[in-house]
Parts: sequence; structure tokens; C-alpha cells
Amino acid sequence: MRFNNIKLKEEQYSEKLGVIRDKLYRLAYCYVKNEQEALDIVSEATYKGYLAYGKMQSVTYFDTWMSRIVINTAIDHVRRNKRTVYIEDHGKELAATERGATLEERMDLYDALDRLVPEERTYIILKFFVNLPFREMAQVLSLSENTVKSKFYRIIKKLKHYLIEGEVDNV
Amino acid sequence: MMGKDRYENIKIPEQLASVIYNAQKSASARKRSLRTMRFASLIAACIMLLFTVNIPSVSHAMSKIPVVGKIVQVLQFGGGGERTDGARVGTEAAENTLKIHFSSGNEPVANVPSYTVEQKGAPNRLIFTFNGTRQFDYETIEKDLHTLPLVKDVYRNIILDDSAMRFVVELKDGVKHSISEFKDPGYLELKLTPNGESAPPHEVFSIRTGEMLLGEEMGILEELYPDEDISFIKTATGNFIAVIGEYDTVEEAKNKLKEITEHEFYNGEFYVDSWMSNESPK
Repeated sequence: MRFNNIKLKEEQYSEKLGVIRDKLYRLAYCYVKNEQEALDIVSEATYKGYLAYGKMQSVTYFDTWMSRIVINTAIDHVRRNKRTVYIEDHGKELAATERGATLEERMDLYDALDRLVPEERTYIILKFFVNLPFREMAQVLSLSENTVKSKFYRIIKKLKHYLIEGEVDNV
Repeated sequence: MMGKDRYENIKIPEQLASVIYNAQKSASARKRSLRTMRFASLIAACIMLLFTVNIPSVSHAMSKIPVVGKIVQVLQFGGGGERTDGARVGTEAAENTLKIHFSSGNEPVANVPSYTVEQKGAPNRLIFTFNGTRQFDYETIEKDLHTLPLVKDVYRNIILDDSAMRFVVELKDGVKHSISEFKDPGYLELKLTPNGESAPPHEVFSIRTGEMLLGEEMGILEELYPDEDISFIKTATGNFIAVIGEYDTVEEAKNKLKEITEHEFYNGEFYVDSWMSNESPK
């Protein structure tokens, strides 16, 4: 009886993962910008997810749940490999010439990710690339919506600061 | 190309599907090995039992254990004893009395190992659990208990702890029992007496699973729901079901089921059922 349930759950996990695997890979890739490392992260997250899937109460939020596992695995991976790059090293690259445009337009946020610590990258990826509203970001990150908003705006402020520095350097 | 486009144009490598497949395979193997390890500890306990039963010196030592000790307590349900490790268990039956005695090496132990006795209704049964008893002669216990005329059935429960043992004694209707704990030497005495008047049978509601065989699944279920008072009943067909609670009304049982469905490990295995208090569930 229970073993049949386990078998069913394992098949269900496989199917659900198949639907979102590209999305999970892109998420992972954003943290490392390297194919092999992104594959390693997805592999590790799949392994962790498989072991924990039987404990899930509801499969409704599988996408959110699995995204969180990939994000946490990616952050751990980056930390382990000490790939965090600091703004002091790359200030100029952030500069953009179009005045009056939005941050998103003026700065290539894909490149800007490299300037952020792994936790901060998550906010930019989820907001600008995955297009999640704050409510859903809060679910993925297991935080309150207000916390997500305040952290997000703090990161944006930081990025704007980098942008201004870049412009100054360009002058 | 700005960030969003670059994100969407991240090339998906061809080997992504196989990487995911392999990771699932590894995780599946890991899960299987965890299950096997737990089951292996049970098998090891059973092998020890076979050796113990067949070693003449051990059986002989058991037969010489004196049965006069100082009484510590008399109870109908509860627990007692002291923490031990590796005590051997043997029994001695006479009329309506069963003595469960313990030894370490060839010597009787001074105190009974830590134990609990639970009493449950529908059907009327006693659940004995002993801890710190690695070598136990369950076959003899079962055989001796079956010789008591007021015992209806005896069966084991599987728990995922190789230093513990649990068995269930189903009593006939209208039977009273008392359990006496002795020390110097340590032994338990189960005494059964006819009550004279048995309570009229009534319908009992409970949360139960479907039938399962005697095996690891019982132990796993108990581990999955540590806060629930799970017990296992032998069914009319000789299989087993896990049972939580005994209620007088279906509403109470449904409320409990609702509570259980919120448990993180709930897999839809429990449902509400009813049966007569003097019968085994089907």
C-alpha cells in the first residue's frame, strides 16, 4: 500500500520535473554562467528533491518548491567555489549611455548579476528574468512579501549606485 | 541584447535530460539502501533469535531461573523496569499465569528491562514492548501464551529498533488481567482471570489503513507518525492494519482523520472504519 504510494510519487516527481527542467537549468546557469556547473547544480537539486519529495503535502506548488531547491543549491555551489565578484573589480562594465531609461534598459542585468552576492542575484533573476510578482517571489524564498520588497529595492539601489559610478568613470 | 533576452536565450544542453535521469537514479538507490539498512537490522535480530533458541546452554540457563523475587509493582497498563542492554527473554506458563523472565549471560538479571504495557479495546488486547532485549525467544513466548486458555491470539509487531521487541496478546471477552513486576530476580508475571460478566459488544469507530503483511511497513508507518498513538491489529484474514484511536462516534473519527491528513507524511493511507468491539476488523 505505502510502497505503491512511494512508486506513484516517484513517477509523479519525474513527470513534473520534466516539465520545468529547462527553467531550472536557466535558473542555475544564471548563478554560475557555466554549462557544466549549471548541470551539476541541477543534478544535485534533483537528487535532493527526489529524497524530499515524498514528504511534500501538496504537489500544487512543485514549481515553487523545486525552484527554491535549485536556488539554494546554486547559492551553496557559488559559496563553495568562491565565485563572488565584487563591484570594485568591474565598475566600468556596468556603465550605460542611455539617460532617462529604466534601470533594466540602462543596465544589462544579466551582466550585473556578477556584481551581486549570490543571495542578491536571486531577487534580480526572479523579478526580471522569471517575471515573478512579489507575492510569488515571497513563496519561492519563504519570506514575507514585505521583506522581499524591501530587499529587492535595496538591491536595485545598490545597482543604481554601481551604474552612477560607471558613468562617472566613463566621463 | 538586454538581460531578459539573454536569460531566455541560455542554451539548454542536450545532456540535461540524462543528467536529471541519473540524479533521480542515484537518489532512488540511496532511498532503497536506507530502507534496506533498516530492514537488515530486523533480520539481524531474527538471526540472533534463532541462535539463542538453538544454543542448549542458553535454554538451559533460562529453565533454571528462580521465580521468587520481591514485588515492585502491580499494574494493568503502564511501564517500569530499568535500562538494560542485551537481556535475554524467556517465559514460563502455568494455567492462567505467564512469567516473563530475563537473563544476561547465564545469570538472571536483578531488574526487568525497561518495558511498557498498553491496553486497547476493539479487540481487547495488551501490547507489550521491551527495550534493551536483543536476544529474545519470541517463538516460546508465543507458544506459552497460546497455552493460556483465556488468550485469544498472540502476534508480533515490527518496530525499527533491533534492541526492542513488541508483541500483542489478544484476550477473550470478559477477561481481567494484572501484571506484576518483580526484582531480584527481575521478571514479569501476567495473570489472567475470568471476569464473569463481559460488557455487551458495541460499534467502535477508528482511523485505519488497508491490510498489510507483517513486515517493515508497520515499523515505517509508526516512524512516520510519531505523535499518533498507532497500534497494529491482526485482521480476520491474518494480515495487519494500522489503527489510530478508538471513538464512539463517526464524527470524532472523521475529525481525527482530518487532523492526520495535515501531517507532512500523509499519503492517503488512512480512512475511517468501524467494527464491533469484540471482533477483529476485516
